[in-house]
Amino acid sequence: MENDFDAIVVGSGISGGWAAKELTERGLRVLMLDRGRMVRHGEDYPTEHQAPYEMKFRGLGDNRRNQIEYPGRSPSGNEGSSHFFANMRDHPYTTAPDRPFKWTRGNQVGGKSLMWARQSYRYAPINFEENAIDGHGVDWPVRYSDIEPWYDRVEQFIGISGSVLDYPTAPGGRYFQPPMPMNPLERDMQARMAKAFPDRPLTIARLANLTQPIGEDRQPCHYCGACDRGCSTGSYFSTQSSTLPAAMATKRLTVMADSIATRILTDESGERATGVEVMDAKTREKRTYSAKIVFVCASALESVRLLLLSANEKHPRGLGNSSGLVGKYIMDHLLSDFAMTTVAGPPMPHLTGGRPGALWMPRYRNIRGEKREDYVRGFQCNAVVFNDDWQRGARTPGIGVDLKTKLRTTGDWHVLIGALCEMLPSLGNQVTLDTDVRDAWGQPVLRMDVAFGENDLAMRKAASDDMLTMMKAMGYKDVMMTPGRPIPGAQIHEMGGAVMGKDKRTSVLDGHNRCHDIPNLFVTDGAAMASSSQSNPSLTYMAFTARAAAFAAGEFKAGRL
Amino acid sequence: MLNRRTMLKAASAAGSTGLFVGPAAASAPPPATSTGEAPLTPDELALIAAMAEGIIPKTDTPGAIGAGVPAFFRTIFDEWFLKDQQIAFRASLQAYDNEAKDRFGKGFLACAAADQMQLLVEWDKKGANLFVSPAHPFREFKRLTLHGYYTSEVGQNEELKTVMDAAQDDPNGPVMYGLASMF
Repeated sequence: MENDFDAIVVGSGISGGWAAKELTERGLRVLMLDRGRMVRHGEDYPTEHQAPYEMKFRGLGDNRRNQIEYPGRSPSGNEGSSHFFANMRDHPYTTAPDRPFKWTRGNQVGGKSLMWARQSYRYAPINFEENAIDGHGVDWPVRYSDIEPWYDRVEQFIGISGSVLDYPTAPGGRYFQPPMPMNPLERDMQARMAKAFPDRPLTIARLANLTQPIGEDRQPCHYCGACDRGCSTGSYFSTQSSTLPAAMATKRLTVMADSIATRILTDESGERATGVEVMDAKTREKRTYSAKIVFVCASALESVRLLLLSANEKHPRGLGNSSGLVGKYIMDHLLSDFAMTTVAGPPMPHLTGGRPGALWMPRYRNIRGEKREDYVRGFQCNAVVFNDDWQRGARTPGIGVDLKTKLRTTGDWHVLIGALCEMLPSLGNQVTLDTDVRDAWGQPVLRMDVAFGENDLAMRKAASDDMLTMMKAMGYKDVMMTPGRPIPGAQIHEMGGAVMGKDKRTSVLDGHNRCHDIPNLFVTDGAAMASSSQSNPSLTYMAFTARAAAFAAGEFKAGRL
Repeated sequence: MLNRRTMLKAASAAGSTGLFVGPAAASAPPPATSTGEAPLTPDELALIAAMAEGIIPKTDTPGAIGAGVPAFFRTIFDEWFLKDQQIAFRASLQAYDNEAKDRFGKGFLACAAADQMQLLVEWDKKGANLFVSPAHPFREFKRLTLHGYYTSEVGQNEELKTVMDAAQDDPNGPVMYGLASMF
């Protein structure tokens, strides 16, 4: 095959797929690499719609295999989705003493877009301003108005179902599909919240799951309830269902699976990326592919790792690292404690599926002039009202005919609410290369040195208190708190490490996701985020990637790249 | 309302489902590791069957035995339990039988039905006590029995009559599937 392309995109997940689509649609010939295997849409979703009795361990997962592949920690995924997750045996990483970090990866074509949780919220205008206001992290080089049209473009193309709200931290929705329905007890919770807190809108999650078709190949969600096994009806956004077909239709995309980007190459001046060195994951043979533009979309921490692994004479600390900030400002989110109670409700049919998302309430703290003394920034809430199934039988006494009769109907209903808290960008939270440990392909691994800070934990405590207060104010009785101990990385919203900024001394990327040091090298996934906001971030990665790709294509056509 | 079977039929007709693991599916798992522990014996399996049937008996639908729960236990023991779990489980089976002998002068299987039930009820009460650690082994036995039963073809299709589409047409609307994707 040919070795020279207009652009190379490293990674094929949520961000890489968007880069490939936008660059090819704008006329560029693109090579998209993924370190993992090919996953064909539909054909390679082997567990889709399997009943529990069609799975060897009935959904309990392969316990012995997990001991080998995830020594000392809980496995990623479940029996229906574990084949989409990268294990710890082949893909190890290390952590600083007493600083645990949970890193979840999906190494295949499509990346984690195949099993993401699909909640899709925009960063709010305030999220692009707070770094400058409170001085944490570096000021974003863009504001909401810069990214707004790209959010519109992404929401329209991928398909989002959800409610449009007139609320300062819930922008967007011009192209939303109708929201998924709430059950009667959720509607009751919504009404209780509106009565107790008229300024806090509780509604259904905004989901990249369809309620209306898009073209012929993307059908509305059929509520089978196991999105993470893949969806042959294209009912949720994944690379396979959405961006990859669009990019392939241009006939300008080449996809190479099992292809590990081991280094980004530069010319002798060090000022231009010239291509990517690629290792065949099966044969370990190395080849070089050249291009005028390189997009790094390998997932936040893998993108950082690739920049660090690409160190050369001109860039001894890693590519784009003249500031020394590659690997710094690592963020995630952290969950509050949950408030929970039991309520009366009707019995339900026994379901093998369910609605693919819960309820959501946008951030209401430190907006509209409120200024908390105990923490800066804020959190969003998620809530759900669900009922017990047969598994409750294992938690309560009873055997025999009585037990069997009882479990024939569904059980109690539970109301649950919790918060997703912003984690501040902090210089001390970093990842570095650990050359003492190698992955299965001989590459040095990442060492995580990340912990929650004072503000993060103060917000978490205040959010937990808010959950209890709200439940009581809504009139729920016997509310219990379920305490948690969050670990960085566990929300799988890891980001930062190559943050955007205005100044090359204090940031890695400019306002178009382009390396300050190497103008034809772009990083457009979570690594670029200068702050984490209070919201699930994937939609924002897509919008930034689309914007950067349009910019890069324009520069390419103008002969400047 | 669609049930699971019609859903699958519809999906197959559309040529769009991937029900079976094809050659391009998941990367090969590592070879199953043997722990060196001997498989469950026929006597042990008979004890498991009797206890499981006591927990979920045959009524107008099959009970634990009719739903294949003993075979599920065999899979769990032979291929899922780690060695220390195997040893503990095997010891617990022996302990159940010993307790039956102490109380009624014969092994569990030889006991009268009422005596078997009395033992199971007592063990169930102990297993349900959340304030003892480690938990009484019956808690795990019951959990696996229920799991084996309600995830079986009998449990799903005859006993629970599960539906796949989250009751979209039900006035109660769709509910969440667990809490895995709440955040």
